[in-house]
Amino acid sequence: MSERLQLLVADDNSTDRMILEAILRRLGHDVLAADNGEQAIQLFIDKHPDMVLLDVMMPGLDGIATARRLRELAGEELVPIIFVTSLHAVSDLTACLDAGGDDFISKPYNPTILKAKLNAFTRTRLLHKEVQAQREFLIQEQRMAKAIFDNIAHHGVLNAPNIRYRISPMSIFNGDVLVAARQPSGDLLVLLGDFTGHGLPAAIGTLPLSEIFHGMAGKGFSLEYILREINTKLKNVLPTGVFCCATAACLSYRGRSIEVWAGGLPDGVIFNRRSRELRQIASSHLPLGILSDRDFKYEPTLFEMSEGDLVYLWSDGIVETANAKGEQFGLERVLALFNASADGAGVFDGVLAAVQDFSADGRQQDDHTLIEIALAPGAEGFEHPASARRKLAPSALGPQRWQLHYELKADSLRQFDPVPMLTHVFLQVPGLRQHGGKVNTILSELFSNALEHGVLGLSSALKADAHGFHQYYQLRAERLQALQEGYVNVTAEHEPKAGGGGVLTLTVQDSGQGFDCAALPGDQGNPKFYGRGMILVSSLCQRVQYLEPGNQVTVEFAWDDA
Amino acid sequence: MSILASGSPDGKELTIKVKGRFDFSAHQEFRSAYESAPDSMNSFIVDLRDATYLDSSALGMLLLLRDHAGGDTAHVRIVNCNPDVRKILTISNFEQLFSIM
Amino acid sequence: MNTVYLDQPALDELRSILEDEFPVLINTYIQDSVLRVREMRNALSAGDALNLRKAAHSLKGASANLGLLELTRHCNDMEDAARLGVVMHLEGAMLLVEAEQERAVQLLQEQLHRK
Repeated sequence: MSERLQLLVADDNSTDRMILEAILRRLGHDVLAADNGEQAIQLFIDKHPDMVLLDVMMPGLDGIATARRLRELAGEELVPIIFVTSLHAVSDLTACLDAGGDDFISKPYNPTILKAKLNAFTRTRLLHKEVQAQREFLIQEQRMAKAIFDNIAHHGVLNAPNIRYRISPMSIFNGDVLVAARQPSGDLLVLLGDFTGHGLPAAIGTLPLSEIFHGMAGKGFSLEYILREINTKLKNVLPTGVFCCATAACLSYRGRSIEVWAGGLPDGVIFNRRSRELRQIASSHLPLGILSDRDFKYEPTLFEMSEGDLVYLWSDGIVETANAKGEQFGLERVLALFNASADGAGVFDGVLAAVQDFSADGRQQDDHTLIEIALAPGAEGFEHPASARRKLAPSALGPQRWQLHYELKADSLRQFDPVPMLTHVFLQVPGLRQHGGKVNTILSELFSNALEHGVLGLSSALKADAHGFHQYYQLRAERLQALQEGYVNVTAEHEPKAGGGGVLTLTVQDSGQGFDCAALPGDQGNPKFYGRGMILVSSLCQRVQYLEPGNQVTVEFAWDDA
Repeated sequence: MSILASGSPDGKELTIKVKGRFDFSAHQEFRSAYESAPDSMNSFIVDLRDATYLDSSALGMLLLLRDHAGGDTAHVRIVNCNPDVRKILTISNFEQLFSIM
Repeated sequence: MNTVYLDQPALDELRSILEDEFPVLINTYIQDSVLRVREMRNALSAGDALNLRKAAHSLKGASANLGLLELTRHCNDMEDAARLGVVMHLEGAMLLVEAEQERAVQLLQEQLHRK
């Protein structure tokens, strides 16, 4: 150890000071000398020495008080303070350590011992500097990473008027992620995720998750496909033992349903501010990133959607906040807040305030991720989210006049939903993208009718009530899995119009028995759960025609360049 | 926190007992416990009788054990869970991957 | 009784460390020791245990550094007494300190004239 140090020596006795200075200079160091506490402090401020050797008994400000002050001034820096003393009582030595002293040397000075102690402290100082540098580096790294994340994992529609959310900017380093997107059909998709671990490894998983979520939602893929894709990606990319607890929901305004997949997060809640009914969203799946695609189960829970419903999701930070006694806030307290609230109005702020009051150190809500989704009254817009905010310049280049024929047989029907892909193809027509929502809706309705009523033989009458609703989708899944024979084919054609815009003609045919074309579904019974689809399609298209025996329908969608 | 591993008399089953907080600090020891076990061990028991707390990194460690033990073909049982530990395993639906008693 | 008043090896080491400054050191000490002894005397007369202790402590440290073993020992005894608040019946101890200090001065001056 041959580093040349700058040392501060404080001793009121000239003899001792001289000797110490001489020894230290001999060892190759620079020495600053003070004969009292105040002088030592001033020299420390002016010259920033590397180490301090301090006599304990000095007139005026004694060594102990001086050491305390020097510690304060040093702050985060490691400045070893060695007490020089001929005191031997343990209580005196303890007082030195309490004041911030790191070591002692006694009089008479032993140059060998002094040299050894200086060396030891030099090693410690170097180590400390290294640790500080590494810490600085990590902080920088995190800052940069956060900037990248902010660019990629954007907010989507989280800032819509019917959504309130809280997620701290640094929560990404706790593995929390919150994304929301609107599908072309108008359905709202939300996903709240919590990756295991801390720091960069926990945050990294949010990137592919966010990319996949936003990319696929925008193209109209259903929640099932999106979750499957995310699950597979995370399984491939994350090491074993790292996973993402998540709750994902699809709020379908057309279908008047809330479809939820929950894997590993504490229960969420659907609270109705009118009826005060409280429904819990329980975790029924393994978190994302654990199972292979083959073993991944979608099996969502379906809730009927009613006016006045509020959907609440939170990460475990809220439920696990602990008070001074180590008790957790717990789900029961959260539910109690709902039950106590009059109309749900203050619940969002109420939960955050209650958790903070409860918390042991009154911590800021950095670990709390919370989202409240209120159902917007009335119909949701069907416009493509992008076009709602900016006028799309119609591209002059693209296919305007074409025909396509697409047929899916049983084994493909079991495992593939062609609607997003076909929608994507149709929307290549210049200018048609502005009407993407309507196109997707029409195709989606026709295809699901063909598949569910035609090929699978399901009757819409089943969807007459909430219970039947669940049964219907269960039956759908069962029959689809067991499907051996059948087909759906889609024929599409587009013709541009003279003054701009065009006509998209869609024909969907299935291998089913057909039905009585004279009676349009929706005329019978309660249109609330079924049939709304075809009424909607009729309202969007200039022509709807069923062909005998009822397993084929042709629609014409005319559009103008807005 | 301590980890205690013991093999069955026939050398086929390894029991790993976790005492105290089963969290990230258990990582090294837990892993060594099953990695250093002889290949004849094909069945594993994780005894959580004395485990006071389980967090997501513990869940991750269980997944690693399952992976080591053969993934889908693994025989891993988690036994003697107290209600708090049980609750965490239930919310994560780990009974779909492990036999939990 | 063979009392060792001076730790010669220690002093030799000091000489080699201080080199040209060695005489300055010796003279500094000598002046300092005179002052300290006077402080002790005054404190004793005034019954001031605190200042007696401080002065004794200071002289003890410096004397130890210069290898003045006996003087160091007497200062130590004085310091211990003063720490306990004792200021009476220390006349004898004071005389010992004074006598040792005088001897120390002599010994050190001899050291200066060596080599």
